[in-house]
Amino acid sequence: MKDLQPIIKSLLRAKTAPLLLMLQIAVTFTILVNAVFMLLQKSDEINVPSGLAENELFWFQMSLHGTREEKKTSLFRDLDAIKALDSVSGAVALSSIPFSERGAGHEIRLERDAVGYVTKAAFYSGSYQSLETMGLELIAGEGFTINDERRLYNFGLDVPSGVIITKVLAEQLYPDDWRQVIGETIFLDEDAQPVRGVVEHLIGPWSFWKNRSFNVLFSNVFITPEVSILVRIQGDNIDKSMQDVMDVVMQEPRRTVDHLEVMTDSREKAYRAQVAAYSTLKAVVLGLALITMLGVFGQTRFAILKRRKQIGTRRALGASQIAIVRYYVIENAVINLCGIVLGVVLAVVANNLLVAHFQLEPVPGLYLVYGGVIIFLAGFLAVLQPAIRAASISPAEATRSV
Amino acid sequence: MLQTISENAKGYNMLKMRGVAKSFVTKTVETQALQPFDLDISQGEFVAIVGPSGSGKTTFLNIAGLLEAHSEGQYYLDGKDITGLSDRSKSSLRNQKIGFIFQSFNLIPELNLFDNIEMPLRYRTFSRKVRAQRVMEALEKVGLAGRKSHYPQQLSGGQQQRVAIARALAGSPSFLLADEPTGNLDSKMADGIMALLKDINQQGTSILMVTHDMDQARQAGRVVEIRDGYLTEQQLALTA
Repeated sequence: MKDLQPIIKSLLRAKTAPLLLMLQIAVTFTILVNAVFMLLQKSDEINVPSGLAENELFWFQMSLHGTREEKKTSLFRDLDAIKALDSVSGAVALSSIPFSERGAGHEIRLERDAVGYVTKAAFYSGSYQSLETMGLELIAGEGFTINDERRLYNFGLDVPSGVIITKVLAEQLYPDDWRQVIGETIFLDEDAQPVRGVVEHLIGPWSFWKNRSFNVLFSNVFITPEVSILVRIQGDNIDKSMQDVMDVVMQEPRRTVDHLEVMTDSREKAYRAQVAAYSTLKAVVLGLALITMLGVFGQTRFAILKRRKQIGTRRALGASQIAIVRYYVIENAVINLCGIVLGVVLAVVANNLLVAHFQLEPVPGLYLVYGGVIIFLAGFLAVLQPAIRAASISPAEATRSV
Repeated sequence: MLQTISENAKGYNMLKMRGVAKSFVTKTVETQALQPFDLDISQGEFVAIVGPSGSGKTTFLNIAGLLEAHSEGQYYLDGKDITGLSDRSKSSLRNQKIGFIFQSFNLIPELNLFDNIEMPLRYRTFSRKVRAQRVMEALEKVGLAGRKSHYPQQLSGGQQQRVAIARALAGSPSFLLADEPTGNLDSKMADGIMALLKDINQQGTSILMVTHDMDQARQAGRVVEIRDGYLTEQQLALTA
């Protein structure tokens, strides 16, 4: 470390070039840390757990005809026939379908007369077997039984038969201990419902909604002229299963079927725009990082190799090749560290602005640490090649007159 | 043809070259920059190397200063055969045995005089205190002790060369190797530098100086001429 003192002295004496390099490192750091954090957040958003047995599910919407009673009869006759198929393990009628972008929701309160609401949540209402058919994991309380299932021509929320909610919704309602929610009454708009169970995850109908993981499940088959049916297959041949189910439902003469779709496609469609944005952002971040890193490489290289004469002189005066490499590596580390410190300050300032203006989440401190380590290593890589080249400069350079 | 230039040798041989030659080989051509020669330089001698541009002076200086390897022959520096030494050993020998003085001073502009002179001492195991002491002694020898915190660009050319001489002296070398030390100076400053070099020589340090100025060469005790790669000893006029 004998070199450190003269290195710092010379950097302080000739400030412009090192200052520029330092700024470039700081800006690279700021951009990278903030952009990578945004990318990872976006990635979390796209890969949000749905709670569903996605690979085993498909859904469709079909028409019901005749009087109310005829509609009800035909729906349950078909549901029973579908469930009886060998290629089907379960089938339920649901008021809305995950990722379908169509559904209903409520303001959720803990007291009927409360001003405002705690949050908003989407609402699924359907057959008592919805939980099992969707593949949800019940982590507290109890699910629905056949006795809980009602078959109405409205949502039927006026009867407090109980709801199952997602864990994140429970955590929102009872931040200290989400389990407290079991047995408590919550209000869906005006309607009181006791919470009877909590599931680990359940994705909502709207992929873009910030509350997409806040969901309520209710056991009532709401009979309308168009109903959505969710089917879980038995075995692994989803195409055969879909064909079998269509053969059943199309036996009804006036029947029309819309939106026959496997759940993985629904998810893919729902996130297509976000995946495109994510990929574009990733490419931009990578490109930007590459350009700025190349800039740092170029500047480092120039800063070293423009001093050929000085390096030759040092060599002539007794510096070994190792001493030359060491000198420039330490010099670079000093600039790099200053750049990173400045970068941390800039990153925090930039992040605060982003948080204030765009309601983004603040970057966790750990990202600054990772960013620092990565930039430092990249800087080390950048200096290594020019430093080794500098060491190979002949000491005879010192006596060269031009 | 082997030239032998050793008749002026006196006392301990600081530098001994036997059959030393230098050739540069490219894919198609081999250029003989220095023809084989013998040369002895003793402790306390002041030798001037003269010759026209392109004659091989700088190549000779680079070989003598271990800045470039010779292609043939044996070179003993202070009794040590340097043929085939590693880069590290040569760096260390340069640092301890040779004091370099360059035509364009080669001071580091970002460092003040003290730090410039201290730089080669940092490649050795001296303590900070010893380094400081040596730097100050060297600065005093060249009469610039009061300006240790100045930067090279704040000094005249002559003063800068004095700093370079101080840098060369601070490591107590076996001999000084001066490459056109007055080449970038006006005659008044050049005279001052020559006087300083003679003074240093009189105190016992050997000096090998490359110059194209015959007046200065005559001030050295001994003149070796290089012409087209051949070294010849010059007989000095008695009036010198």
